[in-house]
This record gives sequence, structure tokens and C-alpha cells, in this order.
Amino acid sequence: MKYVISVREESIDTTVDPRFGRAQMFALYDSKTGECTWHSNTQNLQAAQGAGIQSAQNVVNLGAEAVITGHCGPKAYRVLNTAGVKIYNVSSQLTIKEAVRQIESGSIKPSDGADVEGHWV
Amino acid sequence: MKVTGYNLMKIAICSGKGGTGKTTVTLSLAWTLGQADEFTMPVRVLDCDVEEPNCHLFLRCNYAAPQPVNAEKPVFDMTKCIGCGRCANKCRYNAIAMVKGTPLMFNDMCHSCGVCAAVCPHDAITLKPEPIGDILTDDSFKPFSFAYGRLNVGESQSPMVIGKLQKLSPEGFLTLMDGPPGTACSAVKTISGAEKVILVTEPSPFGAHDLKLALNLCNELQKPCAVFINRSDENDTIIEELAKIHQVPVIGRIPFRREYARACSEGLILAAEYPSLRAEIIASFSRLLHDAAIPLRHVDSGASSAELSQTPSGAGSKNGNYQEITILSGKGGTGKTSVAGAFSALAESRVFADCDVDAANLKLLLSGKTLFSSSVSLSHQAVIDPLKCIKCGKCMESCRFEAIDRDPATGAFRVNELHCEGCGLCVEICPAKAISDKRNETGRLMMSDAGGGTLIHADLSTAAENSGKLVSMVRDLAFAVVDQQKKDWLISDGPPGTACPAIASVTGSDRVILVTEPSVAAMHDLERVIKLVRHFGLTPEIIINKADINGSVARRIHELAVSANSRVIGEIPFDESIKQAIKAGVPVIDFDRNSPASQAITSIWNKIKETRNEDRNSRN
Repeated sequence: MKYVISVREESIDTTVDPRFGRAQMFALYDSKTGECTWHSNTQNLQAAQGAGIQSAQNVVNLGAEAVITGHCGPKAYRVLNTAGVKIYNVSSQLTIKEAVRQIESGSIKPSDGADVEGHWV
Repeated sequence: MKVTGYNLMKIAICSGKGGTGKTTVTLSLAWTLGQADEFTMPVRVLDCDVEEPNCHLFLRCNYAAPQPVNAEKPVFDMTKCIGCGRCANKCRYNAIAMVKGTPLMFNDMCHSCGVCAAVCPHDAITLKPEPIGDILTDDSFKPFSFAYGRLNVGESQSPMVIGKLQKLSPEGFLTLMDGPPGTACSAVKTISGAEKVILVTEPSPFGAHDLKLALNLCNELQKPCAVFINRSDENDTIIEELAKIHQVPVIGRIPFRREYARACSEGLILAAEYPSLRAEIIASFSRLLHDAAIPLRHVDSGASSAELSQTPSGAGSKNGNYQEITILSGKGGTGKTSVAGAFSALAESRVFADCDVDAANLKLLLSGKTLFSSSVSLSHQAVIDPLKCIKCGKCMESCRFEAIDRDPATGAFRVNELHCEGCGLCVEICPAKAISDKRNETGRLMMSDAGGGTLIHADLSTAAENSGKLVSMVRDLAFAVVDQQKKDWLISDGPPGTACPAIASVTGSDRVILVTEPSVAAMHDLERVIKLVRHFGLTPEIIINKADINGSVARRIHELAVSANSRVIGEIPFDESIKQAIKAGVPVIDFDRNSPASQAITSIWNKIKETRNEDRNSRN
């Protein structure tokens, strides 16, 4: 399974960044091969609005099958959900591998909705 | 007073700072002029503060059916769309996502610029009107007719509603437009539609600071303006000197009186209740007509700050063991900054963030050395290359924001920077490729040493967009600093209103405190801001400032709190020491620890401390 994880730095031991749209970078981790690549999200950090939407779109384009992050807002959720990407909300104390291990052992279930509100409607 | 030679007169009543008495002055002027024998023009009031309209609370009008205000939003023809993603790519507002060949539209992000339809290679996008707000009118109200606009909650296109409202100023009328606070796009729109501007302020360092911003805006828009001092006391020097520097007149004053504050809090028109004010109001209007002047631009030389080329790493995720308290108010001028300043003096281990980037005031109470200052660029603007321009006028025709002007003498086209949103439509459609984008400096991000703590603050350039984004930058930097310094509290002073910058201050915060006052206008805005906070899953805690000004409205706020599932955590009595502390430029706690206000704030702070852990949101 190919996971995209929001992270703060380029290190396999780093922990999950709780923010999705305004995360520093994304790790693309393949649990089958153990391979990990790094993708900067700085363009989104500059976005005036809609950072979550653009990040979600980028994540879909990276070929992610699942996203691991702290909190995912409703707009990013809508994009990921449309693309069939699963979303896992995890503690920001977990490292990449710990989070993936817990997901694959079934102790963390995918989210069935946005867990934080974005702009209010 | 004889008024001749006018067929149509449009006056905007604005202020840099909220809560200075714009509405009071507008309605008192309208009431007085509407029935003055010396003045024969019929009067009309337009409430252009479409995010937080308040005038209607003072009037008992019978409105005609609401007229909708529409904005064009894209609709996709899926038989033509090939999923190329050009629309999503060119949209500056991230309102379209292209997901595996299917466009997803986010209407509330859309600014109706039309770039998506212009760039679609297969004509798959058409623009269809969607409601974003409405306008209510009462033409038969006496002694002045009245209309106000309402922007739907969650929409961002206030200039569009204001523009439509401004069309309701008929010939032969004196139109008074009550403007929004601040100097952002909606204030620009209001002032642009006026011939003269009255800037309402109060004699305090906060009032003076924000008046300066408003004067510079009038300078950029080249509008004649004049200053009106509300809550005037024996010592208005701070405002008088500022008016002198900018060479604009002070045209009138309403003295500070407790009974005036009470009348306003009841929703009464001051001039109707106190006819003694009539002479001063008529005289001030006459002075406005004769003496209003375009202000000179004046920029503080100020202490030059150390410039760093790089912003400190914004790796500010919330992670440490601190709690962020965000202080909001809905309505401006309720005492938010005074409370934030006092909390800052009481909390021992803290970092402050001033999230009111349109009019940052906390630094006036917590002054200190600037440690770091960096310019930030948040948006784009179009520039026309006059050598390449073929003067076809296509850009001017297509621009939705009326941001391109033609010089009548030379026929040259020019981008009006105050109106340009940077949507990029003209760049795309110019047949001569004469228009390009530039990033413009829209603000400064700063870090100061503020007597025992670090203050993160920012200044937004006049009329710049994206204050919400700058708020996020202030908070990101504050998160990094509070984490690094291992402090217990982050105290954030938020902006007034419920629009984008307020949303940016609340999202992800641990605790939100709302400072209100017992007046019908403040209560109206409180309801909206409670909704906003609850939307983020937080329980707002309410402080009633100047609680004893109007006991019955204060009681209604308690009832509102119960019914809205929030709670009142304390009341602060009306106390002169708060005003004196602002004048002295220190938090009220440091000014007089034993004053009634200080004691009330101290006991509220102790309550906040005690409940720190129980309220803590899990952010891990």
C-alpha cells in the first residue's frame, strides 16, 4: 500500500505533522518495498487560501492510496474521498513506521468524515 | 447653512478602528440633517458594513422584499470537459480541484473572477449567478430612507454586495454610507464610491494608530476627508496633532458621557435622544463641506529594525505543552486588546500573538524592541507593459473588479492596485501578452521583545488582501517561538468580525474568549461569533466588559450564553482606569493593580488558570 504522510522533516524517524494542508512536506511510503520519497509542500504554504484542496490534489497525483495525518478538513476530505484515497487521523507522536504498522495491524481505522472544520458554511 | 450646487452628495463614514462610533455618527447626522430646515436635500443612509451590519438595529423599518445579490460561479458541462485541469491550475483561489479527470468545485472559495471560463480550451465552463447576499430597503422611513446589505455568512465577496448597495444612491439625495472598520477591500470599496469621507475616531493611542491607517488609505484613494472625534474628553491632543500632520480638519466632537454610552447600548439614535447635540452636528457637516481635504501621506520614521533576509522557520505545528487562548469580540471596540494586554501581564510564562493584522494594537500596550522584521508577499498583482499594450481595452472590459483604468488624455491602460485582486484573468486574455504578474509586498511579519515575553505581530499594507493568510503566518511563527521557549501560554489577540482573518485565528486554537459589552450592536455581533467558534468545536467563554453600563442588556447576554451553549466567565465593570492605562501605554494590571477592572480581570484569569487542564483539547 502506498501511504502519504504529512511530516515536518525529511527523516524516516520523524513524527506525523498534525496539519495536512499547511504541512511542511509529505513522505510517500510504500509499505511493500519499504521505499520512502520526500515531497515538499512549500508551494501550498504560500497559498492564500485552499491549501488543503491543493495538497489533496497533489497527494492524489503522487499516487497515494491512503493519507496519514493529524487532522483533515472537509474540503481536503472531499477531494481525497472523490479520488478513493483513505484517510487515517493519527497521533502526532507516532513515527511514519509506527503509524503504518498500527494501520496495517488494524488498530487504527480510516476516518469516515472530516475531523476538523475548515471554513464554516 | 446653505448648500447649493450639489445634485448628488455621497459621504462615507469610516474609521480605522472598530467601535469608535461610526454608526452613532452616521445615524445622528442623518437624523439631524433629515429634519433640519436649513438643509433641504433628502437624506439616505446605506449601511455598507455588510459583514456586520448594525444600523438596522437602531431603526424600526418596514423593508421591501430582499433583493438578492448574485455572483457568477462556474458550472461545468461534463460532455465537453476533458479533465485537462487548466481551470484548476489557473484558479488563484484554489476553488477548483481536478481529481482524476473530474473537476470538483468549491463555491465558497470562488471570487467570481472568470479566469476558469477564459482559459478552458473546450468551452466547458459557463458562469451562472449564485446568491451571495441580499439588500433590504425602506424608502419610506422618516426622516431618512435606509438600505443595508447582508453578506451571507461564510462568503468572502463583500465588495460585490457593497457595490450593488452603492447603486441605491439616487440623484438629488445626500447619501451617507456607514462603512466597515479597517482598511481592507470592503473599506476601499466603500470609500471609492464616496466624494468625501468622515473618519470617526476616539482620543486614545489605539484610535490614533488606526486613524493613521485610515488617513493613509484616503491619501491613496485621493479622497478629501475630515476627522470626527467621538468620546471626546478634555484632552484630544493625540488626535488633533495627527490631523494637523496630515493636514485634515477636525470637524466635530461628541463628548464622552456615560449616559451617551448607555443610550447607544440601548439601540437609540444619540441625536434623537439628545437634541442638544444638534447644533454641533449641523456645524460639523458644514465644516466637512468646506474644509475636507485630501490627507498628506505620512509614514512614521520609527526605529529602524534589524532586517533579516529569512523568515524564521515556520515549522510551527502545535506540539508543545502550551495552551493557546484566542481573544475575539465580533464587534470592534469592546476592549479585546485591553483584556489581552491584561492577561499578558498576569500570565507568567507566555508568548503573545497579535492576530489583528489589519490594525495591530497590542504592541501599543506591550511596547519593546523589535527583534526581527521581514516583508511578506502574499498576493499577485497585474502590471501592464505600456510598450507592448495595443490599447484594445479587452482587459478593462473583462475585469470583474473594475481594476483597470484608461487615462482619458493618453488612452493608456493602467492597473489600479487598490482594486486589483490578482486573479490573473487579464494576464490570460491579453492578445498582446502585455500583462504580467508581480508579487507585491502585502505586509510585514515582526517579532518584538515585549517586557518579559515575546510578541509576534504583523502589519498589513494598506488595502492589501489576504489578511487571513498573514494571520496564519503570525500564528505559525508564534507556535514555533512558544515551543522553543517552552512557555505555558500563547495569548492571541484576534481581529474583529467573523470573516476570513477571524476564521484564521480560531482554527486549531485551544480556547476562545469573547469580549463583549452590553449593547444591542455588540450582542448582535456576539451571536455571529459564537456560531463561528462553535463551528470549530470549541465552547466560547464570554467576558462582559463595561457590564454595569447597561444591566438589562448584560442580563440578556447571560441568557444568550446559556441558550448558545457557551458560558459567561466574568464581568468587568466600567472603569476609567482602562482608558487611562491605554493612554499611558501599559496593560491596566500594571497601571493600577487595585482598580476595579484589574481586580475583575485578575479573578477571571485565575479561573482560566484553574480550568486549564480540563479544557485542554487533545491536539496529539
